[in-house]
Amino acid sequence: MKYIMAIDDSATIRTSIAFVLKETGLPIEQAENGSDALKKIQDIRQSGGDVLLYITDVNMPVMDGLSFVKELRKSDKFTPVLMLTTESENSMIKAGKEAGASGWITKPFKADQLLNTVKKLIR
Amino acid sequence: MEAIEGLKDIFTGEAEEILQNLEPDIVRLEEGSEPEVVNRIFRSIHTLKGSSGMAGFNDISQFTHKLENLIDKVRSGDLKVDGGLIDILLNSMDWIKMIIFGSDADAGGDKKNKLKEQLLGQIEEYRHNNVPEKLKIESAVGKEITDKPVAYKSDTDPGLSSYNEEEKPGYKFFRVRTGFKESIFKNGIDPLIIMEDLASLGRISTRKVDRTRLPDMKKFDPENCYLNWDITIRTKHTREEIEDIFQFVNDDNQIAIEDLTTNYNMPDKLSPHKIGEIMLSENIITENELSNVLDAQKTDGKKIAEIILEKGYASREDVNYALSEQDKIRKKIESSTVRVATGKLDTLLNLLGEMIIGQSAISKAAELIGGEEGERLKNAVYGMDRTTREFQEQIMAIRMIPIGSTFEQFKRFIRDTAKDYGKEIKLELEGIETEFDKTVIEKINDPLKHMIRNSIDHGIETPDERIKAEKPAMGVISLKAYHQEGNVYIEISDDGRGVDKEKVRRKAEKIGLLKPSDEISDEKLLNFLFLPGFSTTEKVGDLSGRGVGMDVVKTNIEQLRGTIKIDTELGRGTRVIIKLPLTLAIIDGMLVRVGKWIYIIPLLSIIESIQPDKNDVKTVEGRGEVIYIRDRYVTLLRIYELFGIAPEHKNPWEGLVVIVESNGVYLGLLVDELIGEQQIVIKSIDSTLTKSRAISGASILGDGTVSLIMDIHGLIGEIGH
Repeated sequence: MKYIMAIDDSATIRTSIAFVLKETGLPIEQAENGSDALKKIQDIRQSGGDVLLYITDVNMPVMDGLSFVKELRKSDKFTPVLMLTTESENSMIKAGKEAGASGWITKPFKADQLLNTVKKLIR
Repeated sequence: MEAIEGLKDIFTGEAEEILQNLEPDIVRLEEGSEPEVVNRIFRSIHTLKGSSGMAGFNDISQFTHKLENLIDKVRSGDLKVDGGLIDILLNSMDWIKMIIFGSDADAGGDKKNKLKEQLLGQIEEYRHNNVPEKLKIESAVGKEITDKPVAYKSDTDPGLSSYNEEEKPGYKFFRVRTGFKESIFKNGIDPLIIMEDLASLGRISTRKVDRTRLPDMKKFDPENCYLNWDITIRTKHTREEIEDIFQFVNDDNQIAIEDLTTNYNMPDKLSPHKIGEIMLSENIITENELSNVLDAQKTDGKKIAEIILEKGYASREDVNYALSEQDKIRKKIESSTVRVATGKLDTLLNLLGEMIIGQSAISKAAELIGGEEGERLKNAVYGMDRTTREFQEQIMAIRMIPIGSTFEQFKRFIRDTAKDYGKEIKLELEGIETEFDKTVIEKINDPLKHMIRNSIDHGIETPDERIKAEKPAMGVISLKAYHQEGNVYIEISDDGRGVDKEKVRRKAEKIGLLKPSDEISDEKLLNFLFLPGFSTTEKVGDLSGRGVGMDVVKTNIEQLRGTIKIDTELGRGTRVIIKLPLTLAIIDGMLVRVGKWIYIIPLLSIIESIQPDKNDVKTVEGRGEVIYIRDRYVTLLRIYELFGIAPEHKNPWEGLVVIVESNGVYLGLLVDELIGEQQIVIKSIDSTLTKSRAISGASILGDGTVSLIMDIHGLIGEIGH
């Protein structure tokens, strides 16, 4: 099974992502923060599945988005990671890219905006 | 986003929880601004901001944005904390609660707005008045937080793109040069996807690959990206849309996009040697007038210049001027190209064929010499082999022409024919730039016409029938061409009534092709349609349905060494897929030996070669000898029996069995030995020598012997599968 993983401490954002990305036909796995995501990735891999795309918030408790990308890249070099940032987090974009993120999208986002962006990454 | 069911409820629950934790933290600030506490407050407000925006509470989102900026300043030490700040924060929480949880009756909108304005004022004031002394001068210079969105370039701004579209109708040309960084894969980005996206926006007119960064094999790291592209694309899309493709790489890779439209649209450059386009670019006629003229030309077939004069769009003087311009351009274009008779190209290809034969003779000789000299000679021949292959590709490329004009000519045919039948049909074309060998294009015309005729006559329903079937009154026939894995494909599809497989089956049973008890795959069942005299139509139409045709189509396609397949769904439409080889003159073949004879099997047809176990060779009622391979029975054919010659081995488990496939049918050919792969130049055999469909031609081998080339498709057809 191939998943898209949505990582955000806000259930509102996660639900929105899951709703918008229904159209991709892929199941959306939700995680509340970076460390939760890493655990879930392991579970998915153990059951023979894989994640096609990560969408992660930057500012989260326990493990933030940046640390998550750094940690992820140790075991997975090439899966696209889309960061969710807000306008006040411009400085994060450069750091995120250096850590291995593929791109970013600004919150709040429009449905078609997210969908188009995701489609570009998971063809 | 508001449409998401339950999203507001989820947000309300989440906000309640955040606010509950936030208030004690704000109060705690009064005891001193511990970084831990400030960070938590910041994160909570940040989350509120993001979530409220998604849930449609734009007011809260904008408001919390200001709060967030305020706390950010506290966090960085640019602002002092005092009782005033605590008040502002607590009052802000109250306002947020009012918006989220308060019913509309609770308080008038005015009161809410007033409170908000008041709070925003206080926030501003606080930010200005509470800068710590040492920072005052610095911040007075202006370190305002920018509110500019940077990430996503809005593609919803209609002003910009529509303006561009209006300014320059038709195509634009962009040159795109990429400078992908070597480590791009490590950001989870595949440049190939980006380039494919780019290609999907239009037609690539020039393409260069920059390989300068490619290191020695020793230093080559497969996890790095070494290639870059320099591409010119012809497109109807805007620059913004091109830029959007590079959304993820724009900032940290060098992507140069240059608008070349004006260069390309100059009359002395490429395209407009059409009289209408010249008059358009010289402002003699308008876009609208041109399209009127083109429409008129379709119906009465007169010359463009004549129609323009008739309609009075331009004076005779202007038309003459445009004609002379056209002549100039034509001369310019002609001077940079050479027209060559195709006969000369054919000769060239034939000569190349002889060269390949000579080359394999040298190769053979090298083996005979043996030793170091032989080895050296062999290596030299290998090197030459690469050159001849490239030579062949180049000659083939000259012979290749786009299918476009062949497709276009059917527009008229469909229009006229549809009219005769009282049907409304529109033709859609795809892949018109796909290139085919000239010989193929010449020979494909008639089969295509026949199948289109079938679609018009049997496929597409009358407008009344279509409306009853809840389809648009206008039917669609589409022609599509594309390259795939060394073959070229043409698909003819319609959205008509489809083929009734039951009817085909009944007919097949009636004429004794099938027993009622027989089970048969759809593919094989539909193959009956290609049999001579097989037609499911009861009434005989003018155009088709007389039971002749499809078998001729099939024979024509097979002569081009192609295959044809029908795919259909009752009520939805029919698709005919034609698969053709890229070239007709040279194939990759496998040389096999039977007794003292050598035969050639086209490599494309070969699946594998095996030496079967004695126990796996069986005789099955009605199918003859079969071999059991990996859960399937494959019919065994003894080549020596087919050609009546003496073999070395008569038992499959002593010789070799070459498994071949055509159109999903597998066959095992018993041979004595595999000799090797070779490029084979096909020489046609006169039909007085053999009428067997199992032989597609002959070739002269390196040692001068003549060897027959087997046609697997024909062979399977001949032995009756």
